[in-house]
Amino acid sequence: MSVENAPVVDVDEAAIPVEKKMYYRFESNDKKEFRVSELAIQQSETLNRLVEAMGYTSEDVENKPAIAIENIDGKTLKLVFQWCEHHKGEAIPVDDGSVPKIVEIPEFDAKLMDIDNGLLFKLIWAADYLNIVQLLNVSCKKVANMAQGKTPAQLRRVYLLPSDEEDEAAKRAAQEAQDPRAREVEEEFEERKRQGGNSFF
Amino acid sequence: MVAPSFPLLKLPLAEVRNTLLIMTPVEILKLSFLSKKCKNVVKCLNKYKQNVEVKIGDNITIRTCNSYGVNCTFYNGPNWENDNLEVRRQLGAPRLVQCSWRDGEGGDDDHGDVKNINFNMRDWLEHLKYIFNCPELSQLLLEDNSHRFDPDRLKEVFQNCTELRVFGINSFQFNRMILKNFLPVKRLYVAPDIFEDSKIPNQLLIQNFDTLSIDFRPEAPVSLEQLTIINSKSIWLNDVMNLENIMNKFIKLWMKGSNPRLEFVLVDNSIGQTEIDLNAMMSGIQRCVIPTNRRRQYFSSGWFYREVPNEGIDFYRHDGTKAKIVVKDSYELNMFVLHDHCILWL
Repeated sequence: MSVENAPVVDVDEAAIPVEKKMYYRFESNDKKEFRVSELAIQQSETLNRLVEAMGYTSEDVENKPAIAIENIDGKTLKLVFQWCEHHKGEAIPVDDGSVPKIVEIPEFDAKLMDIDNGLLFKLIWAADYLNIVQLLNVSCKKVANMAQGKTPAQLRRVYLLPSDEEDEAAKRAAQEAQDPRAREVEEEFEERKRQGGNSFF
Repeated sequence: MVAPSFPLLKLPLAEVRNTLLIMTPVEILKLSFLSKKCKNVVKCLNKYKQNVEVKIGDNITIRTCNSYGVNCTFYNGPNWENDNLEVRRQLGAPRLVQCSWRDGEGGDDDHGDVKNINFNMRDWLEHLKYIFNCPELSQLLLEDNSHRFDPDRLKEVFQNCTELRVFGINSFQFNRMILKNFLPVKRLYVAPDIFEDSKIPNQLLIQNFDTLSIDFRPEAPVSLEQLTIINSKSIWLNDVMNLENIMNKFIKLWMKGSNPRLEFVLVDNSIGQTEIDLNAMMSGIQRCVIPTNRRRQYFSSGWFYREVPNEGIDFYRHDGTKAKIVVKDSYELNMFVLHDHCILWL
């Protein structure tokens, strides 16, 4: 995609100070390009450190290729950057250690996350990779809300939680698919552990 | 219509944790029953080891002393009044467990129920200890009507508690069985009225507890003989009548060599509002006044520690062991025996 055709995500003109702000260009793994303000980027610890390390000037941003984010697709990245633009300038929350953790989902975030669970799953993975603390809080809150008023059996269905037998079967299948030599080493290790040896070597 | 599903455990581990930390304790408790993996994921939420406390009365409550502060109440409500008495007596599987916890915003407690988990009391205790990372049973408190439970079964389920507190209206035989089943413990808290004629047996006083706490009543006051029999390191007494006279004699006997294990005495007379006269208590006892600018000392007797105030009166035992006696807020008497191993210089 050319620079001219790149979508600009929800830029609030009134919120932009008079002096010229820099807009960085990012590219998703399906080659969709996004222009994101410097202030919005600060919501993501990963991207903030990345652009700081790159030390781009305004000309660099326009002339150099867009920064590739290779493990996030365009649909998910669009949601992420929409969220960052809406919440730019807000303080990054610090975990005070209280439990249960109190998280409110603002109206904008609720609308943004009015998506299917598959996309919500990708959004959490993306927010985790980009280390966007508050987006993680609200998206995890949405997942946690799915547990409200459910019985254990319903929770198993909602969260696709396998039983012990299913976990065992999956482990066995994974072992069978493993390289035979690696399996031998693992069995030897288990045998030594059973015999009470502290060290494998 | 099939409800939409979400593969929770396929999220990054940090976000599984983040999600579970937002859930209420009842929700994570329900999750923990689903598989060993879920149980271990829930356990990972609680990094720091804490304890559980158990209160037994009309019902049984297990409280986790971690940041959740969850109270799980078993055998509660009208169902247990009319039927299932034998299930309750034998600590069988309760049909309903009521949970409450702090709501995280400093407001009223929140609550929720867990139903139809086929766990008996021992299974529940072990499960809660595991998932909330509270491996020790630090306190077992028996209150009114705890005799509805079988004392032998209580011992099987709640063995190895560090602190036993026995109060309330129960049969003397039940109280005897409880003490027989659970002693020795490190700390024992009792009231005289749990014994026949409100007389605390000397065989109990003579045992080597770290702390022995007794709630005396005006109708069953402490005697000098009882005080000198006590062999615990730390003696905590409430509402002692004629305290000055008894302590005066007790201190004189201690100076001559009685109660050699003694490290700390606390007398709290605030309930009866009887002011303590330190001068009367120390009459005839050789003592010295300590300058108030002395270096600060802390005192430790095993499981607790306190600051030793600069004021007060020091006196010595015949073997040179020093002790300090202080009255705080007119109603609380502290006697510190300043053995080398009890003093912390900070």
